[in-house]
Amino acid sequence: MKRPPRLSTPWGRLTEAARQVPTPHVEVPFGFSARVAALAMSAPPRTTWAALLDQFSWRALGVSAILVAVSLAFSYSAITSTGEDDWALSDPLVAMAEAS
Amino acid sequence: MSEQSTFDIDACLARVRQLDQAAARELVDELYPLVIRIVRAHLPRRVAEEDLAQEVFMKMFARLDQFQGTVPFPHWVSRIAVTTCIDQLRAQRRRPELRWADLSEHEAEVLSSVLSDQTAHAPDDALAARELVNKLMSQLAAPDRLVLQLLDLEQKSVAEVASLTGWNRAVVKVRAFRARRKLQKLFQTLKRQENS
Repeated sequence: MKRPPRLSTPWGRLTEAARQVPTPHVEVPFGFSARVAALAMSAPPRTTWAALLDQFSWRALGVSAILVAVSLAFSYSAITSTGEDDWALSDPLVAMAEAS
Repeated sequence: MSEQSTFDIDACLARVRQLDQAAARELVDELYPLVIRIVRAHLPRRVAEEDLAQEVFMKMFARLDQFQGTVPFPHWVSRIAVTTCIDQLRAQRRRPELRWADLSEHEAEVLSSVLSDQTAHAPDDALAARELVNKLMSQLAAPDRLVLQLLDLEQKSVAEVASLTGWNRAVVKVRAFRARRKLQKLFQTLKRQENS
């Protein structure tokens, strides 16, 4: 009779024999689940990179919105002015022409 | 298994996410047999199985938010258990070289038997065979040990091993091939020692 390939090597025959060991009955040790559950529930929540990014990106958005509002408030007059007078005053050619 | 079918894992997870401690206990009770089976199969020396099982459960709870539900929850937990065992195994040094003189009488008999091509083993040889397997596997690097444990002892498919370990199938096959070749050399060395 042809032997299955796994039995053709010493390792195959050895593992075949080792697998015959019956699986022992598993019982949760007394107090194990209570201890693990208590530890897990008392542990601080794990901070992931995604959570950090989420948290700080909202804060960054808020801060940048405030900065935009403040800078708009301060430069409101500059934005709304036509700027023609300022241009004429700061232009060196205009200044030279006026001087001559 | 009838208990498993009545256990509503999704409802339990929902309660755990609300920090319900009783639900967390139920979840641990439900998954303990699965986790301890993996831990016992890969248990590194000098690490208590209960400590390693606890570490697996703590990781499970800590990463619960990452569980997307794309795979069954027990499978997801199995993967955490396997990777935890790999980390523990990697931290260990390999045992000194195994010699014929290191084997017990029963182990030596089993080894002679498999080396001389006798396939029939008495039932009480199984324990010695298991011990011998553990001694031989302790000579291998952690990833090699893991892959042979899953493939040859637990008889999982290459796809299942790939899924559990996160390695691709080619890596699993290559590791298994190399590990078996190392064992073959070890068998030859032991055989020479037996004959000398």
